[in-house]
Formats: sequence, structure tokens, C-alpha cells
Amino acid sequence: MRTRKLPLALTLLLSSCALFKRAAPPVEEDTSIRFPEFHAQLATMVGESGQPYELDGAMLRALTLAANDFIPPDGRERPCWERQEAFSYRVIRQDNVIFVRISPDPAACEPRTLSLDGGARYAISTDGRILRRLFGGEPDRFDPAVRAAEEQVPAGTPVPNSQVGDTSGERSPELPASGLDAGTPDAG
Amino acid sequence: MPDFGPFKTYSDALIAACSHILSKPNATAGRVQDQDFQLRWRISNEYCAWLYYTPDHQYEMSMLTDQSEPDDLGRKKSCDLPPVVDDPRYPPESLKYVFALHNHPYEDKISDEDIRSILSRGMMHGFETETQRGKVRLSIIAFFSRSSDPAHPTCDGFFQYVPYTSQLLKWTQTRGQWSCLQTGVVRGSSERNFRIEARSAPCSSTDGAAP
Repeated sequence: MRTRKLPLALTLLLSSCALFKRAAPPVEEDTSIRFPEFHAQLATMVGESGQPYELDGAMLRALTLAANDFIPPDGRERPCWERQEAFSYRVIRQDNVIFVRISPDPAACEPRTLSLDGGARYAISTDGRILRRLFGGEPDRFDPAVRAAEEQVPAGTPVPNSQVGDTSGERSPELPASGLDAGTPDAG
Repeated sequence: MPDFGPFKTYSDALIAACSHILSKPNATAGRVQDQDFQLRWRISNEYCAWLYYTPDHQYEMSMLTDQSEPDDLGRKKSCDLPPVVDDPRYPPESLKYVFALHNHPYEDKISDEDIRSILSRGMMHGFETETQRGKVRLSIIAFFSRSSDPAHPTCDGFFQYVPYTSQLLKWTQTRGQWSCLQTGVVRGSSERNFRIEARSAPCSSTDGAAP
């Protein structure tokens, strides 16, 4: 009876190991770390043809750690939108912490689905430790600003039901001209 | 979509869609400060759909999807909205895509990824659509509920980003009265490189891009 049970126990043990391998490694979160606003400023875009760029090792390691934690390079064949190269990586360095924001790149895969809220934020020390990570719209529950924002009563302007979601207004001067001449989807 | 609409105005469609989407299983996680928030967050779902305009001058909602990136830990919340609606009643090219709808499981603003996605869509297919009642601008909408009761979530409002005007808006509903507040402006409207300028202003100030 015992020998019959052994393979089952081994199977369970091995399958649970495989399960743990699939999951991301646990991160002891340092909740004192506050993520910066990643889009408070325009970024310098890296990778233009013919231009030299240089990253130091700490920055490269931080990017690699974040990318590999977000999508582990496990050798599996993945669809386009589940690969590391289907995302873009925005980086802000503050003293000994490198903050990385990973966002789906809408132009990376065809057909272009709208990937809403996907991505993650990482805080990584310059000595190569993941200090904190938040996925997608995961709230920073320990940030007093997040809690305060929820408790505030917004002072909005009353609007009749017939104007809810109103999109009228002047055209933004920064709107790309390429988008102004189309009204139907996928016409081309 | 069966059991939804059609509606003659997008305002009516939005108000109906808010309650409809938030009533889906685990569409809400309550307030961040709620005791059971963490648990509700882990099992919460994001749903998304298109609100589109038909040749019959009606607004319809596509089938809801909750497709997202696979996640072992229940921490990744996202929704992948297909680029095309399949409505066999109409030729595909006759449908006009107006609003990308989804829910946020708690009262959270339009994300950087939401902004990227809708900018990308607009750059490919246009930022405004002609309708019988005038032009409607492509937007992304994120509904939210403040209710701590998962069985009866209330539609308490939504966040909206309108790339055409660059405005970030917050709409709230209290006892049937809707209010609107502009919360920011998106500058440098390229799908990969933009910045968000926080700005609190009444929604009557429609020129969000003015310096």
C-alpha cells in the first residue's frame, strides 16, 4: 500500500514544485517606498537609429530584474503580447533606487488590442534587489495620498443626465494630425 | 449586446453601461480602506467593451470581455479589448467606435496604460466620429463603485479621457445628480511619450489644452 502511494506523493511534490516555479518569487515589500509619477514629465526616448546611448550596469540589471520578474524567461512559446518585447520600460532613478514602469506597447503586436491597465511598477535597489512592486491598477494601500484621494468629496459641476460623458471642447493643439481624417474603424 | 440598449444618446448608454458592467461578478473591490479590500481586490475582475454607433443612429455595447494577461498571484488586473466588434446586423466598416468602456475595481483614475491604448487607437482610426447629432470624440471610460456591498454595487461615477481635447475628467453621481470635474490634461499626445498635468477645473472650461 505504501509503495503504491509513493508515486502519487512524488507526483504531488513535483507538481507543487512546478507550481511554485511558475509563480513569481516572493518579494518582501518595503512599503515605505513611494512610487513617483512616471508621466509627470516627457521621457527621453532611447533607441533612435544612429544615436549612441549608454546604460550603466545597475540600470541594466534593474531593467532585467523587472522584465524577468514580470514575464519570466521560462522558454515557453508565448503569444506576442505576453513577451517582454511587447512592453515598454520607463525608468526613473532616485538616489539608490531605480523605479521601472512596464506598460504594454500598443504598436508591438497585430492586431492591436487595447490593453487596459496592464503593466507593473517596480522599485529596485542599485545593488539589485526588488524592493517593491505593484501590478496594473493595484493600489498603494500604504500611501496616505491614495487613501486621502478616496475620502475627498470632489467639487464637481452639476450636469444634467443628457450631458453625461460630454466630449465637446476645443481640439488640443498637440493632437496628432494623422488621427483627424478617419471616423470608421479598420477601414484600411 | 443582448439585454442592453440600444440607446439614442451616448449619455443614456453610458449611464446604463455603468450599472451593467459594475454588476458583473467581482467587478468591484470596495474602498481601499475597507477591511476586506485586499481579498476583494485579489478576486476582482476588469471587464471591457466598446460603445459603438450604428448606421441606425443608435448606440450599442459590444459583448463584455474579461480577457487579460495570465496571473498566478491574482494581482494583475487588466482587460484586453478586441479592436473590432462583430455585429452581424451591419457591415464591419459601418460601425463607429466611440467609447472604450471598462471598470476599475476601486475608485482609481485613468491609468497611463489606458491613455496609451486610446491614443494608439485614435492615431490609427481617428479621434472623432460624425453622428446624426454632431461629432463625438473617442474616449476611454473607467467606471467605479464606492460601495462596500459586493452584492449591490452602486454606479458612483467614472473617469474619462478625451484625447481630442486632452482632458481628463471625473464624473460622479450622488442620488441621481451627476457632476463633472476636470482633473488634468495630457500633454504631448504621442502614444508612447506624454505627460500628465494635474489640474482641477470645472468641466464647463472645455478648453483643456489652453496654456
